[in-house]
Order: sequence, then C-alpha cells, then structure tokens
Amino acid sequence: MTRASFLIGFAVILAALPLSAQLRYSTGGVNNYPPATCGGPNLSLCVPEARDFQFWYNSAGFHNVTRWENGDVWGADFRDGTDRDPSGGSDIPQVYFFSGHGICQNAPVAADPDFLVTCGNFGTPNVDNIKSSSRWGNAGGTLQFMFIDASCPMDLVSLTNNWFVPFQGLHIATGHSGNATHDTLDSETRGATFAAYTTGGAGTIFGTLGLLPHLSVGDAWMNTGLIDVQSQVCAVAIAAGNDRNDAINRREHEFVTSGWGNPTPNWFAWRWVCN
Amino acid sequence: MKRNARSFWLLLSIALILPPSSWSAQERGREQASAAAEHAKLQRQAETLHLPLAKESELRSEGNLYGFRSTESLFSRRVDSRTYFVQDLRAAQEKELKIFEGPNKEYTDRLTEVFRALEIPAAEIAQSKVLQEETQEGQLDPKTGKLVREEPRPGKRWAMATRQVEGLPVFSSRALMGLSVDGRISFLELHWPVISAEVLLEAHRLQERVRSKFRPPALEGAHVESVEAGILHSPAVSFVMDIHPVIRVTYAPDAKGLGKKAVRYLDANGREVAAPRQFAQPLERPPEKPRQTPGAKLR
Repeated sequence: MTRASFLIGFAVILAALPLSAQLRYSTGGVNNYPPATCGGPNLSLCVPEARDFQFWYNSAGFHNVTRWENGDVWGADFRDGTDRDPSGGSDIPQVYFFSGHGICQNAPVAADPDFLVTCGNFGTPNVDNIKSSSRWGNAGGTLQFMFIDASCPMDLVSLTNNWFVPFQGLHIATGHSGNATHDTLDSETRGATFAAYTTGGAGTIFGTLGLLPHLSVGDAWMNTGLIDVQSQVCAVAIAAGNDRNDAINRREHEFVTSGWGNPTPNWFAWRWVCN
Repeated sequence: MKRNARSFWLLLSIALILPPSSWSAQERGREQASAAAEHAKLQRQAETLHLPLAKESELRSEGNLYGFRSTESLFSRRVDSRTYFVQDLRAAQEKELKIFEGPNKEYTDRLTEVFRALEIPAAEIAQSKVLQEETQEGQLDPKTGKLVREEPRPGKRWAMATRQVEGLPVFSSRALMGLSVDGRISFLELHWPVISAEVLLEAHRLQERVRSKFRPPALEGAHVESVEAGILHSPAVSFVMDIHPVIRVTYAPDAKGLGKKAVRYLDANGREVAAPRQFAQPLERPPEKPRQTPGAKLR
C-alpha cells in the first residue's frame, strides 16, 4: 500500500513536471570535411553553431542526449535501421539539430534527391539520401523535430518527392532550398538565433523576464533561416498532420514544447520564404 | 594624547568612508533618474509604435535587457546594444492564420517609421525589401503513395532591411518586421548596434586593402568566390556585444555538389578573426572521449 502510494505520487509528480524538463534533444556539428576523403571544403562555424544551440536548449532545461562533433557524427545516425543507435542516432531524441554540408544541384529538378553529408570515423557511407534512407518516428523512434542546417536538403522543386516518406511520426522538419550558385553560408548565428527563439530564452535572463520573443518552430525558422544566405535561397519548414487542419496548425503553431502527439502523416503543410 | 590620536584616526576613517557612501547615494539617485528617463523613453517609443502596453505594464530589467510585457505585446531592448524586440502576443492565441492585406509599400513605410521612432538612422539601410512567404498543402494518396498537392498560397510577409555604414556592409545587422492582420507590429527584431569611429576607420582600411592587393588564404577543396570588407558583430540574441572590422571571404566548393559555402572572417594580415562572442561565459566543452564504435557491422 505504501509502495503503491509512493509510486502513484511519483507518477503524479512526473506528470506535473513541465514538458521542457522532459524534452530530449541531440546535436551533430561537422566542420571537418577533408577534400581527399569527404569532398571538402572544411567549414568552421558548424561546430560552434551546434554548441550555441546546446546552450539555449540546456538553459531551457531540455535533456541533451548526444552532442557529437566532426567524425563522431555518422551517416548511420540518419539512416533507418541504425538511427536508433543509443550512442548518437537521430531517432533517439525528440529534437535533432544537424549542422554541416549538404549537396546542392546546379539546377535541381523534381526527381533530384536531397542529402545531408557527414564525415564520420564510422557508420559510413557519409552521404545520406533523405528520401531513400531516412525515416523518423518509426519502429520505436521518437524524433519529432528534425532541424537541418546543411545548404540544400529541402529543395522546393523536389520537396514532395523527398520529404513525405521520412515522416513516420516526425512532426516538423526545417531546412533550405537553393542551388550550387545560391547557397547558404557557413554561419554560427543562424542556428543559435533559431534555438533562442524556439525556446524563448527560457532559463536565461531573457526567458525569466519574458522579454524575448518565443516563437513556434515554423515562425522561428522563417525568421532566422535567411540569416547568412545568398540571394534566392529559401528557408523551408514542413509539417505532417492527421488531416489538413492539423498539418496547417502544426506548421504555424507548434512549439518544441507543445507536447502534441505524433501525427499520422496523411497530410503535409509547408511554408517557405526566399531571400 | 593617545585618545587624541585615536580620535584623529577615527575621524579620518569616517572622513574617508563618508564621501564614497554619499557618492553612492548620489550614484543611486542618478541611476534611478536614468532608469526613470529610460522608462519614459521606452514608453514613448511604445506609444509611437502603437504597442498597447505602456499604461498597464511595468518596466522589467535584468542583465542586458529591459522592457515591457503585457498580455497583448512585448517590447524590449538591450542595454548594451541598439537592439529591439517586439512580439504581438495575441497572434499566438489565434488558431486561424490571419494575414495583413495591405500593400508592400505599407510594410516598408512602417519599417521606416520604426527606425524614426527608435531614433535609428534610416540612411544606414542598405537594402529594404518585403519577403513574401508561400504556403502549400498536400494529401498523401494511399493508393499511389504520392502526394496530391494543392495550389500554393501567399502567406505572411516580412519587411527586411540590411545595413551599410559609410559604404561598408554590416554583415550581422538586420531589421525584420511582420504585421498582424490589424496592422500592428506582430514581430520585430531590429539589431542595429552603434558602430564606433575606430571600427569604421579600421574597416575602411580593410576595404582599401581588399581593393589593392589582398590575397585571401587558399582553402583546400574550394576557391574564392567573393572578398568583401565590412563589420561583423554579435547577434541580436546574445549576452555581450563584440564588434569587429573584418574581411569576409566566401569560398565556393571545387568538388561538384558539397553545399553550404565556407566563410572566413579575416584581419588585414589574412589571419582569422575570433567570432564575436554571444555568451559571457565559455560554453560547455564537447565530449572528451571519442564516440564508441558499436562493432564492425556498420563499416
């Protein structure tokens, strides 16, 4: 009886904890892309950007699952079947922020794939074709928000070919559309500001006072995705929903802290803004 | 005699102690007056910007941020930078997406008004434009497994301004403003820190250096796409404000494909300039141990 009361009490306390205390997130930041082995060039701001992201999410009381950098971020982390590796898989947390290279076509067409690129010391290949290999939220995976800061992982012309299959419970994904001559620039500020707005600076003086805008994922990416990008680059956010209204509502209003259940991906709603 | 000496030292000590304490009272008075003036100024600015918070809201202040927050709106600024934030908090309660229908010119005009109200030189705007969001929906057809798309529709708009000072681009400054359906500012990030004469002077020197014979360092796997002198500073949401004159070199990849262009920020000698800080304290270090490999199956 006493043990049962204790367990019930414990469960009540757990349920009463703010979602922010329970949200799990991971980051992967890759600067090192030696041309001989990983195509190059080396970047310099992806690792600091991922660390800045951690600052805001840690301050908000979110639980960091993994925060690997450079060679410790593996291509396998983003491929179905290996993306639930507890040591760094992207389908283990609820939020994953990746910063590194992607692949931009010269003039993307509808049939072109989207990619994110790592340079791992394990778990190769390093190039992940998102449509053919990434599935998030399936088979016990828990990812709800996939944030990709990697140049052209969401080309608008091919978005609907590439991006509905990975949604297997995933709520929202963000990325960029562009091409080889209109691309994102390596940036520390973009991801940091995005993280700050998605948390509203919770846990810092900004959040304590409520004096920093706290934005939905979609709004935050529209406001920050065009920081340090070339002309004609677009910031893109796509959400899945049980029905049309649900997809639109998530695209416009879902926060990382909303605590909404996983959608059945019957409908998709996406928004974009171009520089 | 001893008592006299003791009294002398006591009086001297009091004399030494008293003025600072009376100064700190004066200091406190001055600070309070300054805070009151800032309060009044921010209230006036809020009124000019038609933000419904001046009467009911108390000024909150901590760290490098102060401002107002009401049930309808927040308006804040940084102490250490000419940086302002506005958010229409009513919008978060709306379920439907309602969009301001006015013409684009109204956005740019409103942004100019904001610059005027916040006493920021609009002449420093390098480019001002209205960004049009697009939205689209699609339904998954279970028979074909394909997405049936609806037609795209216009979404929110954003007035955005970039910055130059004396012909020098300020890479990190920007103004971004959205409007609610009734024309009230729905979002504003106006990050426009004052640039000192010394920084401008050095940035001009760098500009001359770029125009003469500056050779940017090579980056393996990439070639130089552009070289530009300008000013780099800490972002809008940060706890410190560093401002650096820099040469920005953008590299395009040699290999076909690998996207996200490398960027280096350099001084006159081609050495990398430390990135402007965002946080007063160093960030958490990365994991010291390399990641354990689970086995050979993934290789």
